[in-house]
Amino acid sequence: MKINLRMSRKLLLQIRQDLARPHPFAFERVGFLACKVAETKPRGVIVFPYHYLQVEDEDYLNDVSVGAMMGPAAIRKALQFAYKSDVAMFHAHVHDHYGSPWFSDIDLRETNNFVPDFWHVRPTFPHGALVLSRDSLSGLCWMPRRKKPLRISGFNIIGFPMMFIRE
Amino acid sequence: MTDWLLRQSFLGAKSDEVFSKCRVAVIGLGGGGSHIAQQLAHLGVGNFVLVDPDHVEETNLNRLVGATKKDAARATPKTTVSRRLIRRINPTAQVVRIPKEWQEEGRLVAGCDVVFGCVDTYIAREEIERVCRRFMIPFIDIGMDVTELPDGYLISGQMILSMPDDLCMRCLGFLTEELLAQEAARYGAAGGRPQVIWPNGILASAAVGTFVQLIAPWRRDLKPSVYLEYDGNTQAVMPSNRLQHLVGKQCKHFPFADLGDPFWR
Repeated sequence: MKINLRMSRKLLLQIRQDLARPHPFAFERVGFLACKVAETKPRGVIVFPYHYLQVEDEDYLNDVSVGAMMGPAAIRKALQFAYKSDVAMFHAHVHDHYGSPWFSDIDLRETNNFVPDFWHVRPTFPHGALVLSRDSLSGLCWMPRRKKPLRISGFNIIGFPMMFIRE
Repeated sequence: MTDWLLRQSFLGAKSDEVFSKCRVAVIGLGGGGSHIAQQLAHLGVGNFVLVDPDHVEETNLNRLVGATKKDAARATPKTTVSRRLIRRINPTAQVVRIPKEWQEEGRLVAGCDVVFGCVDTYIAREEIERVCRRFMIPFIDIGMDVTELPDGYLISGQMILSMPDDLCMRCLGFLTEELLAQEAARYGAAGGRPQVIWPNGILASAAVGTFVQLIAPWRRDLKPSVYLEYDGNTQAVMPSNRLQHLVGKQCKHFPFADLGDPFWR
């Protein structure tokens, strides 16, 4: 199965602007993307992020061992949005470099912990996580009934100019 | 850069890779669509979904690029003609043929990066645009018309780029409820679907130019053409005057959150 993601350039810019804001004590910011989903042929899924949920300053935990640690309120708000709006939810954060980014060991451990929680509220949707660099992005997607996440194989950033990222 | 694409290296050092990985649908492979398919093959586009339920007839030979007398005699599907044309230019191109109505394989179209619409009716355009919006696909539409006037004929046409999250064909004033309702009476006033090769070629070239502006722009400040109007009597292609009244406007016809499968389960 191939997972692709299509997102508007405007939304990507909004995400980058929010994640670039300094936080009073966390070293970096994180956010969530509410997403619609569609099936394509042959055996593919497209994820469409359409709304960005920023994590409020007070919803970070003061943990110097990581760049940013979300508190329970941050996750709860994202879960609530997924439930109320009937959508998939993708976590997002940035690695500050150029080129294709990838998740650190800590990122993988944490996303493995909290992403499957979204199935408690929206069990039929895929959920996942994105990591952005200065000029690219990568992602993982947890499909329902699959324990291991799938790498997102393609990104279409829709705007002028279009940007295609293919794994 | 691939050797046979060297002369277009100004489109970007990796433009050959961008084109080769791009998946494009061409809906309608008549006079306009066959031109577009041919040009995209020359550009190095690597993945095609070709859609047309029709086969070649004798009366298509005045404009259908790649079609021969034999194709007319054998009633070759138009998708087969365009696939043959593409493969002769680029043998590595992947071509999926859909020799039926595009709606029957809508999921294949939804997986494409860009859709070209070369259809005859406003209703068909509206349906394609609707799907492209839902699946966040840029939609490039072309069409030409021949209208009978008291002193002769007027050849006209248009190329429209409908970008998700931007102005749609209704915003641009190209599609209206009245037009959709009156289509049968108003379209092709010069007789049964009049078509000739050169306006199709001009409009197809404008569409492919817009496609390249969109995915491999040759200047940083380049913005793709959104609405070009063609006056076949003066041989002029100009940006539509309607655009100047739409600066800063947002589309109200397609709410941005209406994406994906409405009832995902």
